[in-house]
Amino acid sequence: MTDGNAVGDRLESAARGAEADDRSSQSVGRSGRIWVRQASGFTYRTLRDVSRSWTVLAMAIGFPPAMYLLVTATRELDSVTKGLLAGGIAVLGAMIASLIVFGSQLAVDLETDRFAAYRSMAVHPSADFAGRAAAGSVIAALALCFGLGVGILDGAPVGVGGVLPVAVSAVGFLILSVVCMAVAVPIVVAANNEQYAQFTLSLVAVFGFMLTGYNGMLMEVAILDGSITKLLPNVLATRAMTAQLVTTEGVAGSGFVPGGRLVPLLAYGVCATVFGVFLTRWQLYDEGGNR
Amino acid sequence: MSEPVLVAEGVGKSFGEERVFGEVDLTVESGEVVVLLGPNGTGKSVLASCLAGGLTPSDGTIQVSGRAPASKPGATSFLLQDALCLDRLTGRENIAFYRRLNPSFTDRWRSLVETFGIDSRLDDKVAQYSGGMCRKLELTISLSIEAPLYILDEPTAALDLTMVSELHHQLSTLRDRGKAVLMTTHLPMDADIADRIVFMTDSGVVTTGTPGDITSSVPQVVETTLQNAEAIADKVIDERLFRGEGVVRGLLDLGTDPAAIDEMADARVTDPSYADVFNYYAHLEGAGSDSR
Repeated sequence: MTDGNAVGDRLESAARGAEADDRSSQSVGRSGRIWVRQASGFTYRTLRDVSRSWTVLAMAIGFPPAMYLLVTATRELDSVTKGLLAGGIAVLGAMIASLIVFGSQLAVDLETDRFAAYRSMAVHPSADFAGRAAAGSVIAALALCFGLGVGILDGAPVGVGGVLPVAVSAVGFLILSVVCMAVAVPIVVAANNEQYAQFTLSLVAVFGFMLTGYNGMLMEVAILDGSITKLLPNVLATRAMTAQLVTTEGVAGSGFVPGGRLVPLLAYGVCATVFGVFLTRWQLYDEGGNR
Repeated sequence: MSEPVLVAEGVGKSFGEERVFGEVDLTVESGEVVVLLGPNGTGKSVLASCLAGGLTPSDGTIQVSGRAPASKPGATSFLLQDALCLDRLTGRENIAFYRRLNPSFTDRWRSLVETFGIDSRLDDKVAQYSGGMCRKLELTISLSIEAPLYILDEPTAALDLTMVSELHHQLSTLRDRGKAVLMTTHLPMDADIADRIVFMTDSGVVTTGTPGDITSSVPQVVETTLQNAEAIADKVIDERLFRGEGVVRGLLDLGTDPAAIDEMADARVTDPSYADVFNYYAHLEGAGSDSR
């Protein structure tokens, strides 16, 4: 082989390699676009569905503020406690919304065996989880804001002091939302019925709230031991948020530890995302095909 | 002969200990409409779901365009019976959902909703649709997907006769465009559209062939009035008569001379229809195993 031929071969080989890389990157790009469209499909459908479901909206957005107003109307609470209660109950609303908005349609899809159609369309399980989770987070954010808004109107010392508090609160909220939705997957699979799933998921949120002393806001009413409670994601997230959003100076003196502990919370977020996608793939897509 | 788009070999499916079907071999080629015919409860829908990648078969192998089913988006369009649409959404919202989900979804849905006559109801919730309208919406979604293979599970169930003919026309159009179509049905009239019929019973696939092959594999038919039924009962296989429109029909026993029937009053021997083929393979003992 001459040098000229060798150079030619190398150039051809390099060109083929570049073409292959190009095709590969095009393929990745196309796959990414498909993933985004599939995820947006699940978000779109879930939001459309929930927007007409008055029971879900009432349970997620209406029930927690009503509970807050009932407590504040029947008890004399100091300013700090009122602020913490508003934060804790607003997060309860976000938890209920995350669980039942995500879980309801998942349960309907399971009941009607719609996953057979999704599998035949090669839907990405991660797009499915992400799309439903995005919709759940939107409604959960509404529930959180509505709960806090009711607290503010009632005179609770809640407010936003800058960009950082909002960012920290948003991170805490999103992580808790994803944790709730990852927890919802096995519950929905076990329930395999929309009504059972909604009931069970609401109970999970309310029990989580009560057992941990209003999401760690009023530890004296917590049923679980404080050493365990402070490590739970709903408590970590709620504390991260209220430490930023409760504006009264008496928070630290009340015995409430405002340490947000974002690092363990971030660890929960990563684990919940991996766990949620894994469960969606395994329970709903892979294992579901064997049923 | 064109390349097979779908190749299934030795496919079986069990749910736990319960065997639904086993050892099914099936191919569907480009430009071919295959009708999977059989009575209710024989596993046609489960087989369709396995072929489309919706369920994982317990045994055997399936390839769609040389790859595992559902290994890439747009390989197959699968009409899943009564399960595609969320009834709390409108028809338009359901279409929008699948449009996002499937990258091979086309704008064909706009003309299909007019063809199927549901365009004026697209903004109503699916919960308010009749069974036939739900099926038309599911068909709109399935036929709007551009795929080399269409697997349609009971597409004519709940449709009126006009719509069945319209659907047959749509499937002919797909065939003319070189698409492969496999449809399951328990309605003999769907055999009209078939290039090949695969007949499935509780015993699995009992016969397969062109419509001509299938009808010629079935004995001639004796037909008489309802009042005269007893007179021909011993002339037909298993002494089993099936009701038609004001008549009864049975498959002529091989030991009976057709001329003897012609001599009887109010009785005649005739060629089998698809309904007779269906009755022969679905209901007569030993018929399936004889022709396998």
